Amino acid sequence: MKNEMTMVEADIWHPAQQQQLFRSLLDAFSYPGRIQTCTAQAEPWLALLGALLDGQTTLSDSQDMLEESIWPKLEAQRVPYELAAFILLDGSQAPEMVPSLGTLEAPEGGATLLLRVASLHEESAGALRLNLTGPGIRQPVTISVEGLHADWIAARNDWVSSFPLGVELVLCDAQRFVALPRTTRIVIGGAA
Amino acid sequence: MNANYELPLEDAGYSFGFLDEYAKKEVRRCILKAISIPGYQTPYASREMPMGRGFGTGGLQLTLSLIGEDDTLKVIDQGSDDSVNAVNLRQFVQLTCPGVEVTEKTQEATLIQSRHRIPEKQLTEQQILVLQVPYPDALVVVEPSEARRKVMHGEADYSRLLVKLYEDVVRFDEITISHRYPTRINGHYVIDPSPIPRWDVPRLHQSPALVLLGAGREKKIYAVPPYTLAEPLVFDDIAFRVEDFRDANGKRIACRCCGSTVSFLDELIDDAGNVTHQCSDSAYCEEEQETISARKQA
Repeated sequence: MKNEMTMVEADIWHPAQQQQLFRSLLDAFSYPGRIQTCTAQAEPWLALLGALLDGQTTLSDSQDMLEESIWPKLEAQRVPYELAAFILLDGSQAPEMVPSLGTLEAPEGGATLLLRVASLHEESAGALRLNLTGPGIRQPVTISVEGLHADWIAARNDWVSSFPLGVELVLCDAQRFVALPRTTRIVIGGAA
Repeated sequence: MNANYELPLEDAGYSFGFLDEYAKKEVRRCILKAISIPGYQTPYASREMPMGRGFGTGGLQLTLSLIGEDDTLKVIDQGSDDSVNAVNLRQFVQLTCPGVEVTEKTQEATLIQSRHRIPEKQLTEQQILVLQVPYPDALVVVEPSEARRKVMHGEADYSRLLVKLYEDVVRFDEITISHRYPTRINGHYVIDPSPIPRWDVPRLHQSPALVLLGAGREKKIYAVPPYTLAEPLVFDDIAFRVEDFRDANGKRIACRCCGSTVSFLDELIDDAGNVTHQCSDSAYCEEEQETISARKQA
């Protein structure tokens, strides 16, 4: 049983699987609001971290969502929240601090936040409806999210208000994820 | 490249896609930031490739970081699938990415690496276009210091570039940039869209496909995301215009092979000094010819 578990988890560390995950992540960033299904045998937030991180990157996990045994595999440097390029958080709790937003000369220093939420829906069924417009979105899209604290959207909208500074959000439920780059305009409520 | 050359697989054991996984991950992270900040030149650690810088190493690193076994790749050079640069890059990908299909048909490809042209055929959401870029910064003609250019880009300060265009208008009654036309992405960053002709610039605007641009020598990656504003830099009273393929009588010149009057044409001069025109996009031209011969047979 233990061996099977190890094998199932192992596929997110395989280069071919990471390439496929990256391509779904690429689609997610290219077409914000399109919810992508994670093909790996792991929760999307962990699979995406595996596909993106290496020893050159910094990660903050202030809520200890990652098991200690995962850290050596990710190879990422553990740093405080405000310095991290990648931040892993539980979306149900309100944001407390401002992450790195990058600088005018180097806006790519803005953090990528992976927020774990309860569920994502294409239709307007969830608790929090988000109306999305911006690059990559042909017609305004509404998605809805369960388990995301509404303060996140207000805080995020504040952080991205002086483009090119800003942050990228990736919302992950148990199987799927959606990306909200800094260019996406998010309005809470949206069309029902 | 020698056509019979084979990578010494037994000795070295190159991984899929030639680049090591750390290199790919870095390029991938940069691609995501480049999409998130449309038009911003994201710096990356461009790797040494087994070909000279300037032969499309930036585009190739993007392609190798994106490609997977179920991809179908098309490589073009100035519209042609059969010119030296395209053939070499395609062979290299075939050598290092076993299982990847290659094609010459635009509509069959999932990944298109191109030097200086956008295919005539409308791209779709299922495709990614990778452009090879020699000079990524549109501001380089007016400001030599990269540090200052970065500030100007950040502030979206393109006044000096506009003055350059204005000087053209004063001296020649026309903006004289034939290719690499400065284009503003999503209302902020101005990019050098690689040496594509003016003809191709409007096709960046609201494109259904993602466009990625890679400069290997200059170590920059930037992107035009799908469904994004891409506006050539112009003045209110002087409109942007593409190449004019009309003859002295005002008649649109047709391709000498397929007769198309809607494609971008290359001008050819034979030994006798006669000028003829032919589609620059060879795959498009061949398909048009096939359609015509099929119609004749029917």
